[in-house]
Amino acid sequence: MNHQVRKLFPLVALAALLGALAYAVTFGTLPPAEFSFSNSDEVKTVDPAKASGEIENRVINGLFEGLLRSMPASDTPDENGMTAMEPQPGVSELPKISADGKTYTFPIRPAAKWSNGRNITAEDFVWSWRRTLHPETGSKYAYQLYYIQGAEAYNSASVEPYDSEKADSEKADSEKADSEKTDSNGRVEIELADRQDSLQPFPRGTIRRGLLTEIVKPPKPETAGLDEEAAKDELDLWRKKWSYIVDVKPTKDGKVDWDAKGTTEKFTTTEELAAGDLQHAMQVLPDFETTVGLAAPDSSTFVVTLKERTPFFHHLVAFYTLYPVNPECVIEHGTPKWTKAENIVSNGPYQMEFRRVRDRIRMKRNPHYWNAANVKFATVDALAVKSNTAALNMYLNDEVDWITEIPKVMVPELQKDPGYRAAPALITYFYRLNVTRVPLNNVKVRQALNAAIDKKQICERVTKAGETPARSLVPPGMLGYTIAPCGEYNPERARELLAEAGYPGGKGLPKIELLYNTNDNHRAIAEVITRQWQQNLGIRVELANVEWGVYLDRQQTLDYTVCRAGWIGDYPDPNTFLDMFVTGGGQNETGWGNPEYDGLIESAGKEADPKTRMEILHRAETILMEELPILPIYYYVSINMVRPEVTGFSNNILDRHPLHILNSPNAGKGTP
Amino acid sequence: MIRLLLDRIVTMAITLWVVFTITFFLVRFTPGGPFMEEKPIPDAIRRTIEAKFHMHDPLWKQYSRHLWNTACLDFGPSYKMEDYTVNEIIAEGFPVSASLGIFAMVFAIILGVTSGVVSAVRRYSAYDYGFMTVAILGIAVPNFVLGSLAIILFVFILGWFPAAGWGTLQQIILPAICLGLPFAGYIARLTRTGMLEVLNQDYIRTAYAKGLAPVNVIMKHALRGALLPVVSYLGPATAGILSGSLVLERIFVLPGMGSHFLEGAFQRDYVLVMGMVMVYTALVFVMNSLVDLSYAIIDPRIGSR
Repeated sequence: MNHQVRKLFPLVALAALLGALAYAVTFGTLPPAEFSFSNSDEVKTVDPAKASGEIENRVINGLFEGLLRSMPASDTPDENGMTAMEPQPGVSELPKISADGKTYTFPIRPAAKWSNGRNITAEDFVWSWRRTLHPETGSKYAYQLYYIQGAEAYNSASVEPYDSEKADSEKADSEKADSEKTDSNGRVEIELADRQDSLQPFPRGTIRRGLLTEIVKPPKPETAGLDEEAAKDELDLWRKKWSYIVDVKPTKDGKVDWDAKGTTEKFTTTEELAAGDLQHAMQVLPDFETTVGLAAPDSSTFVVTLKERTPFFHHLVAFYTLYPVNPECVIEHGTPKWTKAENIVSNGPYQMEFRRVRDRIRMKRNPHYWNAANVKFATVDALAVKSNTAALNMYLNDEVDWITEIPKVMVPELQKDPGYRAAPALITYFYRLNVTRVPLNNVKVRQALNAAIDKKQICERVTKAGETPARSLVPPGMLGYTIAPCGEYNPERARELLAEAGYPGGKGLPKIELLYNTNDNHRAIAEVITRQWQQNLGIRVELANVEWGVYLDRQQTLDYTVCRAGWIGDYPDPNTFLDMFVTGGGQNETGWGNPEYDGLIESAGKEADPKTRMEILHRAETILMEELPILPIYYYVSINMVRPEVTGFSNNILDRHPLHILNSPNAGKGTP
Repeated sequence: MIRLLLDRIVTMAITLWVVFTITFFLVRFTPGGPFMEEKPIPDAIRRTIEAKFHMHDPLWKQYSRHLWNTACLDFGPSYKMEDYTVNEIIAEGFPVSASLGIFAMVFAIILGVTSGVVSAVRRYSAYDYGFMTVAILGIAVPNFVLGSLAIILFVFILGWFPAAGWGTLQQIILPAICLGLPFAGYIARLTRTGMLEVLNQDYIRTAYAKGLAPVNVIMKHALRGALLPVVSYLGPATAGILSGSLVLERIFVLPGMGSHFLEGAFQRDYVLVMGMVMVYTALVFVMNSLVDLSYAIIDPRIGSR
């Protein structure tokens, strides 16, 4: 090695070091946003059709907007500090609902525009919802659209051959208008395998539409000895071997003439099988245009036809799965590339400025938003802070304005902080009682058990994460609904009730088994309740913990006496909690049934007037809380910490906090 | 020299392949899967998604497809971060980790060498004892403890630095110090030992006897010889900084490779984990080779075999 090189080496090393340092320094210049919040974790996707979860919700609600949008129903909270959330006009005004409650007509707001300035049309919604339902999109929440006619069949690609008898009986039924969409009855759309990109379902390849006359299936494989997943693999393979014989109908000016004579063609969804007249198709789906209840009669009218009256449908419309995406943007860039900051076209109060994975999504005000004048912050940062300790540090050190989670152990200390905001969530923790067993078949015993539980103690001493004691199944804070509370904690009254039931002082009462799935939290709660029952009523309780699968099984087969349970509401309507307990309901699992209760739940489903409907549901819950096949224990809470100077933040059961109505002295200050 | 390089490249290819194979099977045999979620997704949808990622194919088929794509440097779309491919995640995470690592390394070298030299020259003085105690502490205290202590001290008590996050230079300094401190400790000890050995050599005595200024003697003559063990330590140090950054990136919420790797493992994002492991392996290998190479340059006794 020559001497020269050796002499140069320290210089080269030093230069390399300095160069590296210079490189490292270049990354450090990002001015903070006007408002920033810790979003708990990285957003998995900002694609409304594919997202699932609350973390995504916070960002998607900033970037996009649906026909309706969940907004606080009033400016002032109720006596519990809660504000009900109400679906309010978004891209559309409030819909016109037909008398039978099945047809919703949404008038699209003329001022509604995409972030590229183009007007939002009804066709955009048809296209977006169709994309959500398309099986290849793989939308985890597509079932939110299943209330729409034909949506489930389209999403699960279930096609049936044409049945002439069915068609005749429908024709005879002259009541049905021409436009009304019915069961697909053999109407299918076939997408040929001539797509630009086989992995992108949009833009689609050539579409053939016609009547499915027959599905030719090879013999079904034997799956008896296989485990569940392997059996499904076998069946999937088998389904791929089906061939579809279709009477392809002629198309004229984009309209299919269903009554014309067609040509018979054969399709397979497996490329290897395609040969001769057996054509390779990507999909065989029910015909979207004529079987799924979505229509755009003109570009500012969007019509949705439901399977049956669905009183909470407007809540679903205000949920992000049903938000629109810009068709040109998705088609041009493909999924997932269209979600990149440089490509994305959105329609919400904000648009994406840039995104750095597991760091932040920087949003800036969308000048084309119809209500842009009322959007306070020019820039908002959604930080992906996974550790809630780090998030709390950032909050305490004034680096963020809002954190969406805090470490549980800090609850007692932070409760006094002016920024602490706890609100009941859409989740109730309760115990199921098996009313088919002695002694729980006696309502007085059930009431005694309820009156002997000190729920406040459980929340303050055991769970300690700010939970609130529950006296009803339905958590408080739903729009227009008043909960129907059960009896309070009253050991005196509990003993009386037990005596009235024929077990004074707990004498003669058989030992009660309390079943829970193995989990420290459940065990701690069960132990406290056991102690309370023993002290207050003198009854003997035995704890039984089993693992999750066994627990589910024993609960379902009523192989328990008392069993812990929890329920997460699917939508902010009491029905999602109450319809569980109709006689023989799949989730009832208590053996309890009451014809009056069933009647009330059924009539609530048919009631058009929201106020009357809530009253009916309240009556149903009153029955449930009187008969107590379940013992409500506590409501889960959502805990946020919000800087006190931030306004527009309301406590609500959905834990949703629209970004564009938040305000603070920082708004309009720009980024320094 | 060329031989050495070729040799290295072949060894690296084999190493990468072995690491790939082991990781591939390890992640797949870990309980749980990428699409098991708290709120179960409908079965049909889950299977559509799984089919998209070829998860129903036989394992050997998945293996060979994945190996081929990896060889073409295409790690594929992430299972969980649906808007990203693994390549994009690495491209975004690498500069963050590199920046953090460079700062930590520079800090470690400057602090380590300086305190090592001072300790050796002023042997058994208060400086010596002081620096060496700090060095031992830096080596002994795990970096998550160090990180937490640093947050309490520098963020909440002194208020000098932000608590977490990425975006400004201020946000990198604290994690870089926490990451670099243990290595500064090692380097200080190595420098001190090397220095002490060199200072007793005849040529140093000659230099002093020539009447050279002590600064000149130390910087020009002694330091060169003393730094050899430090240079050889830089290879393992790089590996250590990479793995140490896993923990610190999490504590300080830095969107670097470490955060992606950890989250990928927790979420069973097989492809992301594979991609990260490959990059880490290549990185450690390249850094070690560079150190070997520079060692051959500065020390004439080591041949360029």
